[in-house]
Parts: sequence; structure tokens; C-alpha cells
Amino acid sequence: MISKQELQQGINDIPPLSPVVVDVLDFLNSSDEVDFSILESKIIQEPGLTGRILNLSNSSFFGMPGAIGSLKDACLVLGINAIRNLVISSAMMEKFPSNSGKNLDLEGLWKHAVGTAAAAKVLAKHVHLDEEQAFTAGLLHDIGKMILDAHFSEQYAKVIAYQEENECLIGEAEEKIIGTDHSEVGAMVAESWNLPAEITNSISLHHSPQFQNKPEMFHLINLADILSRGLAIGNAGDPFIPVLLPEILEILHIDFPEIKQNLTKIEALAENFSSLLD
Amino acid sequence: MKTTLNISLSDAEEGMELAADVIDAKGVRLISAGTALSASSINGLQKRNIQAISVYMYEELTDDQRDDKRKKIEQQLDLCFSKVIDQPSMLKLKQILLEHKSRDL
Repeated sequence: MISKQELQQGINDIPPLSPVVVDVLDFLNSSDEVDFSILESKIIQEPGLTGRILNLSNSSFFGMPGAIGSLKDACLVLGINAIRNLVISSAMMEKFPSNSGKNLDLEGLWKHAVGTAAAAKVLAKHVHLDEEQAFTAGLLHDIGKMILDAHFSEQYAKVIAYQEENECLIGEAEEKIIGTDHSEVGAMVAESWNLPAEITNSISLHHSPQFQNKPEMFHLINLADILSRGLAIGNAGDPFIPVLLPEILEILHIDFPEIKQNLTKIEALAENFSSLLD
Repeated sequence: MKTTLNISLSDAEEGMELAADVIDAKGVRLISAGTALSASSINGLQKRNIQAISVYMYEELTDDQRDDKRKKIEQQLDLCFSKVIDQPSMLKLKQILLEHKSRDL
């Protein structure tokens, strides 16, 4: 077990986001009226980030009929909220490249995250939640696993050994070995990186069984995670599926036939988006 | 049975259906998923230096192959749901996923 103090210390030692990303997010938060030329001049300082934003904004996730050729186009067409989400998603993909897993199959985990993002985005429409936000929350919901694997890798090797030996969910193994799980750690780090509250909130406790009084986005991400696992998109860290509480379907006003109708769409979106990961 | 295959552009043929958007190095989408390739679109992709694309392949399966695929799908779902199958809602979800995954078989 890691003590709370050790965990906090470990989290404090995690390098901050790149200065460009911090600057861009600060700039986006600073006012409602954003000058796109200034925004572009800031983002362009990091070519990797620029390329990724263009890739993502041209993906079918945004369903844009015309191709987006420049950052300025992306800002104009997609809007500030989408750009903020793209900056965050891109920064996370840069921070945890799919070949950088120490114990985890990160490529598989990103695919699982993409499957969750796709399911969240497709179903968001049906439950009247913001598709953009659902997509980002789904993509980042397991960021805590990546953080634990990268920064607590010795302990995480034990987590994986425990999961394999006991054939349990990876979150249960984290609780047993580390004393907390990826949703709590992910939320702590997301907060220290000053990510928007709605993202931090949906990272935290997405496996929490206490479903009362939670925002609907929580439940949507919970459902999306379960569907991504059930469809066997990527690798969440274990081959099992957590229980889907029937109450969650009631809260979201969605039923199994409606979910079934959307499975093909979810798989197609995930497939399309996966090609942008590397 | 429809599967997705990544192929080199030099192996692309007219009529193949794209399984994913084709995006160039600058991030610009050239052709959308679902589009059937034509001789001129293949030519256009070559000019833009695209190396590989993702296409759908359709294959006729023998009865044995079909049984084999179905068995694999069932095994994956059995393992996935092994801890939660006593819950009626999970039984329902498993059934939906099984029907979905074996729809083309």
C-alpha cells in the first residue's frame, strides 16, 4: 500500500503540462471573446499539438463536410469549447504515447478510451448531453491508469500481477495494492493540471457504485466504458465488464434496444478515430 | 462477413470501400470512410503521397469458419461477463452484444 502522503508526494512530482498547453488553456479561460489569431500563434509553437488538433478536427468525430486546413479554420468552425477539448486530448496523447507503457498495454488502453469516447459521443445525442464534452470525458476517463503506470510503475507491476492472479477488475487490484484507484488518482492529477472541472469530475469516481445525485455525464461515461469493454474495443487492463446498474439506464432515459441500434455507429467511430492515435 | 484490413495504397483497387477516413500529413481529410475508391481517387491519393489505407473486405465463410468465429465471440463474451452474469441486466446486455457481433455470420 502507498500512504496518502507518498501518493500526494508522487503526484506533486509529476511534471506539469507543457508551457504552451498551459498558456493556451489559460488564454482560453481568460475571456469569452477569444482572438483566434492570437490563439493560433500560441498553439503553433508546438508543432505536435498543431498536427494533432488538425487531425482530430478533421476526423469524422466532428462530422465536418469540408476539410479543415488551418488552426484558424478549426477555431472558427468548431468553436472554442471544441478547441479547448482538442488541446486537452492532444496534450494527453502527447504525454502518454501509445508505445510508452511500462506495465500496461497503452496502445490497447488508448483504444479502449477511444471506444468509450465514441460510445459517449454517440449516446450523448440520445440523452441530450453535450457531445463534445462526452467525447473528451470518455477519452480521458482512464488517464489515472496511465499516470499510475508511468509514475508509480513499480507498484503498478504488482497491480497487474494481482489482477492476473485474482482475475478481477483492474480497479480492484489498484485498491488492493495501492490503496486507491485510477479514477481518484486521475482526478487529483487532472486538478493539479488545472483541467476544466467538468472533465476532472467525470474522471473521478466513474466506477463509483453510489449513483444518486451524480451528474448525468458520470452515468453516461460509466455506460460508455461498459459498452467499450463489451464490444472488446482495445484493452481496459482486464478482460471483464463491471456491472451496469439498471438505475443508470433509467436516469439516462435509454433502453437496451436503443443501445443496440447504436452499436455499429459506435464501432465505426472508434475505428475511424483509432487511426489518429499514433 | 465484413472485416477491416489495412493495405498499402499500391494494393488498392477500384471499388474497394474505405473503412476509415484518409487523412494527409497536414491533417486534411481527403476522402471519407464509406466511399468506394475509383481509379481517379486512387490516383489522387498517390499524388498526395498517401502510403496506406483502411478498407473493408468481404469474405465468404465456410460453415466451419462461421462456427469458429461464433465460438470465439461466445468465448470472449463468456469471459467478459463471467463475474456479473447473475445480474439480469447484464444477461440482457450480453445477449444484445452477442446478436450484434454475430450479425454478419
